[in-house]
Amino acid sequence: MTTSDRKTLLAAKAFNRRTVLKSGAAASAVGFTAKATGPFVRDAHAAELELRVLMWANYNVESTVTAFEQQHGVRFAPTYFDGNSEAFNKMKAGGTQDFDLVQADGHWPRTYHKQGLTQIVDPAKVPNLANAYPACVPPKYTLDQVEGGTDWVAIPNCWGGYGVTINTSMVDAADAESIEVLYNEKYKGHIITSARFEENIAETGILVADRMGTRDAARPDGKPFNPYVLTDEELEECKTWLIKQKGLLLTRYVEYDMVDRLMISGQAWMSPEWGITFRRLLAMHRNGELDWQARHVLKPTEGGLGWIDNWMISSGVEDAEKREICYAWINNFLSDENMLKVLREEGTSSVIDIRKHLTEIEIEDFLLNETEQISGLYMFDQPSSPEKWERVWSEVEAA
Amino acid sequence: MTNVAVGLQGLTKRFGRTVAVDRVTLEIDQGEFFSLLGPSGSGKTTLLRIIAGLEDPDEGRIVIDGKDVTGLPPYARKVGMVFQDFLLFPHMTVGENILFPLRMQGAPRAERDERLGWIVKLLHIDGLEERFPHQLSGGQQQRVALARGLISRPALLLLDEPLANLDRELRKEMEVEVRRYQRELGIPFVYVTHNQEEALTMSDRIAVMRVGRFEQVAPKFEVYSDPATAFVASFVGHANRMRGRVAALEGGRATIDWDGARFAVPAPGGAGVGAAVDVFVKCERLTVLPSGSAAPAGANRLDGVLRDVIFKGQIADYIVARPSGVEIVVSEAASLPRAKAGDTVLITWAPDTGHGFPAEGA
Amino acid sequence: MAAPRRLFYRSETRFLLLGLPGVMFVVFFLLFPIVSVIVFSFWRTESYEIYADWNLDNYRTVLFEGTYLTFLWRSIVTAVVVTAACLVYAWPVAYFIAKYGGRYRLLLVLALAAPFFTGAVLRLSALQAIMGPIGVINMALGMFGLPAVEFLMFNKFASGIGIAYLYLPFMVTAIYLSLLNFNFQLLNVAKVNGARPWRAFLTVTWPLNWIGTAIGITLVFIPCLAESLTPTFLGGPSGKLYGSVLGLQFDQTGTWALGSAMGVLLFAVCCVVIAVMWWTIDLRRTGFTGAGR
Repeated sequence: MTTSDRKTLLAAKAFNRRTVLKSGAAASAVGFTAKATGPFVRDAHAAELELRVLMWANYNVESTVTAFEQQHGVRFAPTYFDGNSEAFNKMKAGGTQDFDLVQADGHWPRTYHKQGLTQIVDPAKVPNLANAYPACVPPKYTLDQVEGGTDWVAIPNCWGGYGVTINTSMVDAADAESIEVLYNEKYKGHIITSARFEENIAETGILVADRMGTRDAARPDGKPFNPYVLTDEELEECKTWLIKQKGLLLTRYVEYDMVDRLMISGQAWMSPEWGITFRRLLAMHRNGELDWQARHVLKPTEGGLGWIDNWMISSGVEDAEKREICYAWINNFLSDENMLKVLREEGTSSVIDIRKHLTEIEIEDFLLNETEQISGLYMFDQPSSPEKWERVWSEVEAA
Repeated sequence: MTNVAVGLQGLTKRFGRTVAVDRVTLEIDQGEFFSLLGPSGSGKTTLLRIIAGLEDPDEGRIVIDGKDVTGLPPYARKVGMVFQDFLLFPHMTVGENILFPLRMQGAPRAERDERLGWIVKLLHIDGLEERFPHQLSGGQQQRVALARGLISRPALLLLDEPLANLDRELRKEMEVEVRRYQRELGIPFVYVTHNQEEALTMSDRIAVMRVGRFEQVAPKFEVYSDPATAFVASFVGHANRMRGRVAALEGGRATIDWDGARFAVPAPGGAGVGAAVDVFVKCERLTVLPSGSAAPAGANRLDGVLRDVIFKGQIADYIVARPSGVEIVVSEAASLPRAKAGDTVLITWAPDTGHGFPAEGA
Repeated sequence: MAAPRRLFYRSETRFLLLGLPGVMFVVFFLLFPIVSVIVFSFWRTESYEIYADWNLDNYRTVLFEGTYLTFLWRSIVTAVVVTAACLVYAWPVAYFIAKYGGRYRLLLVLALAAPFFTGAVLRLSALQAIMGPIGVINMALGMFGLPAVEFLMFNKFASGIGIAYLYLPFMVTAIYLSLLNFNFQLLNVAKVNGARPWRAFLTVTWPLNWIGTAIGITLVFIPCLAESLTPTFLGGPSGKLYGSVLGLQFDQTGTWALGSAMGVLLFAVCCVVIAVMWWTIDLRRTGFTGAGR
């Protein structure tokens, strides 16, 4: 569920930017029922030379697929999903027999593997991975390896952040470095944030844990700090901060147009976002349509949120030949050529360093000189207890 | 206090380029039953609505009980009105409907109850007070509408074809009753109708209207027996119209050439020898005799063939065809035994009956 | 061929064939969802999984932890205010169209429904373009050197206007359709019988059009109670209504059981509203000629 809306946003950008960010449209009991009665499972047993892939729709680059099909004599059969939990449920409901490859980000690959849905992968069979930014692979980034081990469970492909876009003409450079800028009385009425509960709480959680000194102390679960796994005390403190923040907010945005409009008009001076508005603001500034420079703080001093997407091989793939095709696909996907297409056509940054093919402007737009920060970002996850988080969020909204 | 209940002075109302009411001046007396008679489109309903205050006149004044009400809204005029479709309030009981005017005036409860008791008895609708309009017969609804118009004892009651939607029998009965209530209450009624029988049965005076103007305003007998214009002559009563020429004028009589025959009528005003005239003779003033019978001395005579007899009970209509094919209708008691279609007959009438007018459009 | 034909012409078969679509519709789109929501409201969720552990915790949370009642209360107040505003605005509009619209009546009513020709999001964006911080209104004010008005942006007032704008056509249409069957002559009757215009309206026009008005009120009030999209877009950080939070349970937090309990409560409130409106209708007092015989 967690990252689903990032993907929705990205897909929406590609097809129709007006698509609402899961805005809490009618709470349809029918839709709910359909969800609860089990995922739709595609019957893909029949074909022999088929690569059956469960993936985000926005990574399906047609020219890449066509070339791959011709080169390897297989048929590429994609099935799309909108959220990590949706894909996870499909895999759990017998999907290992229906899919050869599956995608997931953040903490999810470990969960897939623990549940026996995916198999250990060998990074050596993906030569293109050698060109990855160091921040996206072990030892800096280890979520693609089994917990406490060195076996790989997934191969990374793309990354993104959820930094704070800043109007530099209005916000002091020193303030902009901290998440606390979003809670600063000085900017009352000019702050906007997303309407989504997870990112609001998680981001506040980073700040709160930093202030409480609990971020780097021993965590109750014995693991490193994860803003999606907060203690009750931290959650309580988050609530206080979020309620205080309400008085400072102009609004919470539900669609990208709102961020664009409010930032461009100068009504809003800062907003956490996926970098989409940031890129637009930069372009406008370059074209002389905007007299101020935008800045995107990917990783504030307390830490920031981000995601790295991965390919995994289903545990249902036992045939060696099929496994080779899976590796071929992953390696092909990580080729400079394809990653360039993904960046230019879908607006998503790759984990492969393709800067040599890019213009200075593209490098600036996609923050590709700041990739060192990726490994320091807290990866998207699902709240440890949606029930508790929901309560906190409702109490904030009701206050 | 004069005896005049309503005075209309030079009332004119235009709708776009159509003049619906054209300089109408009229006085209606206290206690008078006054009818506005005319075909549809003659402006009689518009005139009534102007008196009620539902339309504003473009020119002229309206005086009710000595008070100029021209600029006053309807609710300040103290008139009652009964509408063609009854127009009872469907969401109110009979009692509430009748009491509506008193409620609007803010009359005390005791007075309301007393008046209601009085009016329902007068109109024979007692016992229906709790019912709703849709539970009543047409006649009952009309009485309720009448009761609503009368309960506040208005200075004037306006009635807009109130009986038009009742069946014939009921209408006959109501004509008599409405006349009786008017007499008992002494309230002047202005009654709009296109039905001449209704007007003749009930009214004291009748104004015959045509395209916004009065053709004749006179006591009902006079309107019937002495029409002032060709239109009145043709519209009131049933008459045969004969368009002929004045052959001679002598001693207040005119001799008319018509359809190859000649007959005498009272001289039409304004028509010289040789002028074309329309002569109207009421059907019931004619007599049909078997061919060859002796007619009274000096009577007009016309030959013809009996084409048909339409038996109506008390009277019968004899349709007589002249040799030229022109037909004349004679209404008489069925007094011609064994008369049958195809018989040659003789039509006679007294020369002092019938009215001639210079022919319009001739 | 003979057998199926005979079968079709049997009256029970025809009854079944004709009645089935309606029954299926009610079962699948009304009964089934309601029953599932009621059932889920007694279950429990944990980390996006629903467990059939029968309990009353969801109701305890919704009814006794002030948070959710706060949203409900906000929604009720919003619905009352918006419905009243729609009522006051719609009556003269509907009256004018019904009485003076002439041959353009239908066109005028359709024009009012124009907002429905576009999607909800587009409609809300248009509203923002008018009322928002850089909307038409504030730009016009700026042109005359006046300060921007803030009460139109991201607050309850803005969201109230947005909701009223959305449901106003329901109210106008309901009242308009009622007025179409209203005999305006009755007003002349009332006036001639001594009623001033305002009195004539209250004693004749209003009661005779109460059913239509009550339908309009219900058609506006109920969706107002459940409204979620408009406050999310226009209501600002403190404008969240019951519907928005209810939507959150299903779309984001996955707390379906709690959301179901919220849904059941909303359903109950709506039933009460409909019952109250029904209670105000005395068929005999509305000019309905079929009743009370």
